[in-house]
Amino acid sequence: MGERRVLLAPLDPVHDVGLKMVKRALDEAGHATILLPPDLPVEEIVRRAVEHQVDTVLVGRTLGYNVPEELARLVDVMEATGLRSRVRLGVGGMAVRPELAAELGFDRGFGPGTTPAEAVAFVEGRDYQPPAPGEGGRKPDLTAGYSYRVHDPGIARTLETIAAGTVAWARERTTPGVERARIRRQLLAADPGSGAELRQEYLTHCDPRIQAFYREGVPAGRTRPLRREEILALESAAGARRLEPLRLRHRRSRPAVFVQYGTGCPLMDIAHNRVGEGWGADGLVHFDPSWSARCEGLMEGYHTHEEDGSLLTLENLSAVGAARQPWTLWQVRAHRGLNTPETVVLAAAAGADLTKVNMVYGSLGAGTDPGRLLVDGVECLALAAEFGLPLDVVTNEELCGVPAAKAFAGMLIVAAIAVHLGARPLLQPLFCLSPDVMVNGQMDDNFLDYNAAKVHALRAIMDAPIWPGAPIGFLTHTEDRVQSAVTTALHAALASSLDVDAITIASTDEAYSGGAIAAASRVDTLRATAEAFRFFGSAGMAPTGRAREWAGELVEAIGRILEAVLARGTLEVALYQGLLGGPGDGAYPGRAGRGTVSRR
Amino acid sequence: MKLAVGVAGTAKNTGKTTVLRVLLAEAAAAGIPVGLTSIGYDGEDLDHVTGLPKPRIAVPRGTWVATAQTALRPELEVAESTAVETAVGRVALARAVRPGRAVLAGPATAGGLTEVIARLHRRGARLVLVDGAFGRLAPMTAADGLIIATGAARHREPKLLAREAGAIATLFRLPRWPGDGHPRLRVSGPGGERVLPYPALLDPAWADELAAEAAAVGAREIHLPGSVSREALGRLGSQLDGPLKLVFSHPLHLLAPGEPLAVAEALAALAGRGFELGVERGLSLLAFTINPRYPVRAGGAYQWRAGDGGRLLAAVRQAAGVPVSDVVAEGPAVVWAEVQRLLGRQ
Ligand code: B12
Repeated sequence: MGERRVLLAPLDPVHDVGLKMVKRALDEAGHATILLPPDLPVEEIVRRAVEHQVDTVLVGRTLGYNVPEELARLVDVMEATGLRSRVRLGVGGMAVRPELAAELGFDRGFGPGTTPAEAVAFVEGRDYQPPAPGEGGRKPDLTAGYSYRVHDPGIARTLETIAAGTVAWARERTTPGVERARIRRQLLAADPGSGAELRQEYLTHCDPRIQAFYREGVPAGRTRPLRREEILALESAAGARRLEPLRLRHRRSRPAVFVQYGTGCPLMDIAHNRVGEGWGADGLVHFDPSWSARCEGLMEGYHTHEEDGSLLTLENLSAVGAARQPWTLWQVRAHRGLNTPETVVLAAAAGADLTKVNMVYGSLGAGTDPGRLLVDGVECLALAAEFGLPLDVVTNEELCGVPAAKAFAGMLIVAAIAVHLGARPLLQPLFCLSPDVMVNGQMDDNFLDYNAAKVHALRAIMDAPIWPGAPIGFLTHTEDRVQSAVTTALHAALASSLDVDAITIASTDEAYSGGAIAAASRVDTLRATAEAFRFFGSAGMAPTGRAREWAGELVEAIGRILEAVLARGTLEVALYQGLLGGPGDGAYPGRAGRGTVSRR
Repeated sequence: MKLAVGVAGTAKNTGKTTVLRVLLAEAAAAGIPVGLTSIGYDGEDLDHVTGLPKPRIAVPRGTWVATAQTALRPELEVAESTAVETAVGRVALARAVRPGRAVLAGPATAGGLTEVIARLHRRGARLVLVDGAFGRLAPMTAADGLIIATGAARHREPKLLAREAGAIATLFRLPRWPGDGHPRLRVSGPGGERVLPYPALLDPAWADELAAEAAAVGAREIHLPGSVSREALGRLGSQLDGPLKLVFSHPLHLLAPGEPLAVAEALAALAGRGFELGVERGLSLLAFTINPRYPVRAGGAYQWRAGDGGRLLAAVRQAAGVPVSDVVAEGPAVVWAEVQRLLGRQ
């Protein structure tokens, strides 16, 4: 790349800061620059361009008034002087847009938000490549580089014993959920049309509502099949243009930011996901209807759901997954209900990148029978390992009132089972104003210390990726959108400052919408988060000494709880007896699927 | 014969797009294959300066359009791409596969326009129409004929507009003395020939140097390519004497600084002192069109107002020395007849 001679001319009464920024970048790139003072007449600027024999003229214009006339005159005089065949001409400034630059006859226009690198690329005659999202335009691997080593040998032994025992216990058992997953895999592998017998077998493990769907075509829940034109629209959405997203992170490469979707309608999901991706989200989390988690069996085909949560079918999932950007991570959650193993099968078949499993939360906070979910969950984790799907282990039981230490003990057990089975878990502590904290006051002063303590504690125990969620700032949102955006952004900044691997954020209306979420509210928190990342850069937040103290207390408590679980014999019994959260903590062993576990 | 006609304006909002629409319709009715491009950006819904709705550019089926790839609409089918760049992307040649609408983002320079016109001609367009942008004229040197739209958006006062139109027209009547197109200031006389390193007469100091060289060679002819600033031209004139030819490159280069009255006056003063004036190249000024409407800023937004169209038309007609028309009030006949004459003559 040869040195270029560049004339920088503020065609403005005073403003020249943008041009000076561009000059610095050009100087650093080794080009020769001449910066003129503001407010010179057009003829004078052209005269200087001739005298200095420049090959690029960059004009700056900030003021919005009388822009076109002066700039057009400059372009015309340059042309008439014969310079336009060898001098490239660019204009930048607050009042400039590409269309205006084209109308005025400039080779390029640089509006607000231009980076100096763009101007350098123009001067050097290169196409400007904005930094690619993800890892060079591909998906990052959030679990890369983690060993899953448990640092304390005692805790390591305890976790491994519980994990091995639970896997052995579960492997002697089966459930309708495990059977359906097996049959679904066979159905997916079977030739189209040849699955009649398999389907019959599948239906013997299903809820009557699902049987009615397959036998009589009656859609379950408040759903309806998509119409032909809706399906065509879905297919064309998959081929839609690549986005050039806004940049969310500033200097750091972590955390990846996930947003949640589940409007009920796959088309709407795609639209919402585009918004999220356009405003810089790195990942999407699929939400399914809550009734479906309590209903044995999954439907097939394209379906829309009238209420929140998008139906888990291979078709729905594939359409939404295919419409994402190549760098976007996509998580399909399997964590809590009666269809968990089958969900992992569908997620893998639809090309998902991640799933989510936590038998402890699912059985203590989400209404599924502990024994049933343990058997299903172990199958889930084995499938996730087989399909190479990393998974997060969420600790939403904290929202019921379970203290962090118990929730973390449960999370670590599930993570240990996952590792035992060869899967790659991510730990998902909540960054939230949890009921336990509200009662016991750990956040009376600030939100930093206790959230930081959680991350410190987990890191002290296991070398595993950490993904605060889900979403961060739970219970700190109000009906006020600005307040909700600010609190999300501050929690995101804390997560970034703690150098965690990922976060999930909510829209500003998620907590109070009482129904559909507005796309604009997604933009609120994404923009606010970007602003917080920009504000802190690679600087950090400073929790007080309490954070380390609490972390130490958490580690100790977790160790004690794990010992107690081990002493109880099986994880199933420990769950029923409330060792990882009991009625006093607002946790109740669930009933869905009770009595459906059978011995192999 | 194939040719290119530019539709330029003395300012924004003088009615270029309206004239272009009229010509498109007439050419379609006459069965003349048309190519369309712009030296700027046009055809969008709302003006990006005033925010006012703009006349759309309707294109009949079969029209060839040269516009930036990013501005292509579905009714335009791309036939070839070019290396000509605009601020919104590369120019492509496309054909309207059904009647539709064009957003034009075309070559901003004379060089780019020359190439695009040649390509449109090669594709079979007999008449290429080139849309202007703001008061920019210089790239139109690539065209064969020019229609200039003027009106109240340039000046409210009809008399002033008329004088300006008259001044513009005189530049197009300068005699043509085809030359070698040398791109530098040059003097020649019995004492020889001297070339200065300047491509135009933009600086009084350059005028001084030129005058000194002219005196040194006893100049008979001074070659003045590119645009001239009024100040530098005045300075040069004051130092010259004797029978002398001043050769400018192109009327549009003289108009580039956007001060037609001043330039015409300076030239008239030189002519008055006995100097002979001419241009190396030129193009036919076919007509002026006038537009009595103009936008004003009122309460933060722009609105259209209209002056007295009849008075304006009469005033410009009297001064211009070429056909003048208000295509909205009078229809296309006057302007179209000039285009046809040029088509026939070529
Ligand atoms: C700093 C400033 C001044 C300084 C200028 C000092 C200087 N040397 O530039 C001073 C105090 C002198 C000043 C004066 C005036 N200012 Co002032 N000023 C600003 C201010 C605060 C920041 C502008 C700035 O530098 N931004 C930072 C730069 C980096 O941003 P930027 O210009 O957009 O540049 C970016 C891109 O546009 C692009 N870019 C810009 N130029 C170029 C060029 C190239 C080649 C490229 C590739 C890219 C590029 O890249 C940059 C990086 O992304 C703005 C308000 C604001 N918050 O923006 C008002 C502002 C621009 N000023 C304004 C006004 C009106 C004036 C005055 C006319 C006020 C008055 N009536 O007296 C006077 C000028 C008086 C006069 N003689 O005409 C208005 C303009 C309103 C409008 N719509 O046009 C603004 C917006 C303030 C306001 N809201 O009223 N101003």
